[in-house]
Amino acid sequence: MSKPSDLVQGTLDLLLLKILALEPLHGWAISLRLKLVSGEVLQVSDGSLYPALHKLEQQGWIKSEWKATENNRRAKFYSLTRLGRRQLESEAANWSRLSAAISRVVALEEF
Amino acid sequence: MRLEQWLYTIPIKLRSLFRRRRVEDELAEELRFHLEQRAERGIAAGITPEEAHLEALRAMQGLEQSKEACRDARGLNLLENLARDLRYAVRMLRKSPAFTAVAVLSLALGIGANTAIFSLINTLLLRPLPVPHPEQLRALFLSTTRERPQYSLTYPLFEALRNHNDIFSALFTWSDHQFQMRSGTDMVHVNGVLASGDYFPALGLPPQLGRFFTRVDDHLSGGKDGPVAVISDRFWSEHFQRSPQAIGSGVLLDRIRFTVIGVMPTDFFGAEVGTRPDIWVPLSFAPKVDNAACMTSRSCWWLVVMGRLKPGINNQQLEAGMKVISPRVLHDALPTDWALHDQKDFLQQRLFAADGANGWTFLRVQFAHPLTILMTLVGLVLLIACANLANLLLARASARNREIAVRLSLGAGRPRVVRQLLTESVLLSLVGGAIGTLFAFWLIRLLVGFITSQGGPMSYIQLEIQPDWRVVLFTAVVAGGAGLLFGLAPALRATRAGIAAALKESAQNLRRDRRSLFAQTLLPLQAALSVLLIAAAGLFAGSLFRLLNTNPGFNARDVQLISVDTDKRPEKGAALSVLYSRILERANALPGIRKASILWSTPLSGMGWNDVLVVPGRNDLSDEQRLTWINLIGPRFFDVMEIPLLAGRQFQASDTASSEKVGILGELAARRLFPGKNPVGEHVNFEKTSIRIVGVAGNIKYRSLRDPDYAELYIPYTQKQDNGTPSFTFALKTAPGAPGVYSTFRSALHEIAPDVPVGSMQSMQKQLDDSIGRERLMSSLSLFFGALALLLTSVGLYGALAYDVTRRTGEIGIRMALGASTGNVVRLILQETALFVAAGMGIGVLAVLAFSRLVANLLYGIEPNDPRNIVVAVLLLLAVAVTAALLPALRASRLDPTVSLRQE
Repeated sequence: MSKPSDLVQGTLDLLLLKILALEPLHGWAISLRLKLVSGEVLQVSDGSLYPALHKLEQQGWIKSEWKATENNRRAKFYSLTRLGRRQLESEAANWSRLSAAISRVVALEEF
Repeated sequence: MRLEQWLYTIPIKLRSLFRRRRVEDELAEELRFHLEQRAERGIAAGITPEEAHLEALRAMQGLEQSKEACRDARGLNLLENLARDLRYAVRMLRKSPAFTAVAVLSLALGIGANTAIFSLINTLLLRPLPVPHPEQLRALFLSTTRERPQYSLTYPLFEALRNHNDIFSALFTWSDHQFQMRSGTDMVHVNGVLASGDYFPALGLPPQLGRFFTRVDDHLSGGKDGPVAVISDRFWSEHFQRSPQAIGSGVLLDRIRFTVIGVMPTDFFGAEVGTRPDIWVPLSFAPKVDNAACMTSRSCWWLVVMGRLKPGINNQQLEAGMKVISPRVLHDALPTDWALHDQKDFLQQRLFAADGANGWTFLRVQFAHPLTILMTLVGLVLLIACANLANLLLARASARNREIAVRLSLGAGRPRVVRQLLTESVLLSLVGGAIGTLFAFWLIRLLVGFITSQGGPMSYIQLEIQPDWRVVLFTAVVAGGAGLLFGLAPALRATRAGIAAALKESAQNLRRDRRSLFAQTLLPLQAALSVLLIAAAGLFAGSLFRLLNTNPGFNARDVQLISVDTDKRPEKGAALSVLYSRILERANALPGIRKASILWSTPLSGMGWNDVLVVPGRNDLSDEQRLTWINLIGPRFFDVMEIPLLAGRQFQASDTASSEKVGILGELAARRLFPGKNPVGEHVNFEKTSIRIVGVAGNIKYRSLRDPDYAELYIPYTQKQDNGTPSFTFALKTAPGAPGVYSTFRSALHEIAPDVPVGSMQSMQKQLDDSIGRERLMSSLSLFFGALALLLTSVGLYGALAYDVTRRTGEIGIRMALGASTGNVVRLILQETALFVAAGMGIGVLAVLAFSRLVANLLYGIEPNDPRNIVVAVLLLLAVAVTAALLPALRASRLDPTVSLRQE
């Protein structure tokens, strides 16, 4: 139920880390930002988003604090930890390697 | 990296564990914020607030489900859920105290019995000696086959083995010995060990204090410290108050002054399991303290030999090595004074090496098989208890259908509900296990009592059962496993039913709802196991009953046995006989003692002495026919034991060392050696001495009630004083219930011989009871387990049927409305029971046939497949099953159809 059917497992972590690397955000803003930056291609259901965030927090990659939003509502903001930044670097590197490899394989077929 | 991660994660984990409410509130607020934001967006897009709110919930895929997923993601959820499940389980179990009591009690009995038997098996068979590399130890035995080990060896065999050995880094040997030690004015017995010089170095443990003796000390004159002794931790406490001054002080043992050189480690009692020796002295002192001849005799079987393998020797090399050296060793140690064909038999044997990691004990030889059988039986009892509980839980789970359906529909996942139900059953079995452990302590004491009584009157066996991690682990695994075993299937089944169907439960009453296949197999399984357990109980109880009804040939009533050690007296031979006859004369005149006599081997003690007699002029008799069991007795022996004298006379005071050598034959010996004629006045040759037969006595059971009658020859104790220094036992026929016989006898004896240690008094009846201790153990325990199995099965059957009847109220109502009679309804319910039970009994009988072969050699006077025994077992179970089923059946028949149909 909580597994993102439209995203490769583990990729969601990478996306969340990347988005939070830019600025601290609350959950709702994360879901909007995700949709926006991916050109509406990547959709994460609301049901999967929060368990994923809580898991990242458990692993010490992100931390949370309660702050006021621009509308002056209280919300839980997530931000990257030092550990999370390192994790992001290694996962991003992994991803580039992987996607480049897959692209090469896919391109191979066109010949 | 890891450390840094902990820096972040530990505070979070602690927070969610100890500030649960706060964390929960925050989770709720976070998700609420999200929902509100989404709803606001919906409203802005123009849909109604209600729809927008529902839309947001749908996008979240359920608020509670999301929360639960977040809790799972936090990981600690597992722990929290466990705590919550436990609280809930406790509440549920307290709501049905009858069920809980039955469940906990049957589990406690089942698990406790398993723990108790396992503790014994652990101590006797599994626990390694607390020495370095115990796996290198081997116990050596002599036999023609590995199956019939003979662990008693001679000293020449040990020496030959040591000379030819190239497999063991060290070989050592020992013998138990009871020392006499002066304590104040009294002589007391101290359990000790005579051990060869390599005993301690090979075991490899350092002493607690001082040093151990080695081969240097193992000489008749002693090493640099002279005669030396190692003492136990207990002896050190009792006699030296744990003072380091103990080292170097002397102890007077068997009139020899030994210097204490070392103290054993606290929890180490040497290589022999099940004994608690207090003194170890070098084996070379054996001739001074024990039998003078045994160090050189090639037919004195008194030593146990163990060895430590050289590192790197594997089992094949060991086996091959033993094969190679066996003939050489046997050749060197051949008893050349034996008859030629006996010598040939001797050389047919070879030496084997058995695993010695857990030390050596003769209890293992005797009890390994009974204990494995008992372990099987208690395992089956636990299985019945589990089947029983599974049955009860199935019924309960069906009754809780509605509750479970509600929880499922509120969004609890199936694994979550299964986990909840399993928590209940595991909790049950853990509580059962805890109570069972208390029960196990009691049972262990009982078992140890049975087993140590096997040592006879001079018991040096001190079996101490210390629960170690193996026992704890075993109990935990058994309890937890039992909980899963009986809990899993009902929990899976309870959560399988569709939500809708469960909520409409009442509609099921009219459907002829068959019990699941699983539930259907439970009752036959219980029936089968019960038949097996009852039949086993029948076999063991039958054996005991026959043994109890075996006539020992004498009357044990009011006969007391007191052993007396005179081997340190200055008198030897004829002078010793005079001493004994003076004591006898006094004893016969003491108040409370009606008759007194003396004997060498007390009947049924398991001890014995046999020899092949020669009858002049009868060369046609085979060795087997001439093999005769000898006993040395005094005058009035047959009066004391009430053994009938069939011909001739008893021994008299006038039969002395210097008078004519006489003997009395047992009935069987008389018939074998002198068929068809009166043996009185005839002669036999025993140990090259001609003996005139002066009487014939009734046969008695010499060594064991289980054995067939032996041919017996009695010789006056006065005419056989050269055979080492045998210790004699006084047999006293007392007035019934006469008080203070022991102290009267003791002080009378000490008037004549002040420094003779007097053993404790043992009644002949107790010796008789102890001699069938194994049968008593097996039959009392198997009867207990059989009864337990019956009880559990009847409770299970009753529970299952009562539940069935409740469920089928509607069906029964309709049947009755359509004209079914009371009898029809009773028959309907009983029929199903009969079917289950019959199926189970069929399987049970097959199981009995397989099982009985395993126990054949533990039985006496009863055929393993005795059809009467099986029939009785089946009938007994049938009777109990019908009784258990009748109650629910009658209740069903008394249903009022109008009432039961209105319940719909």
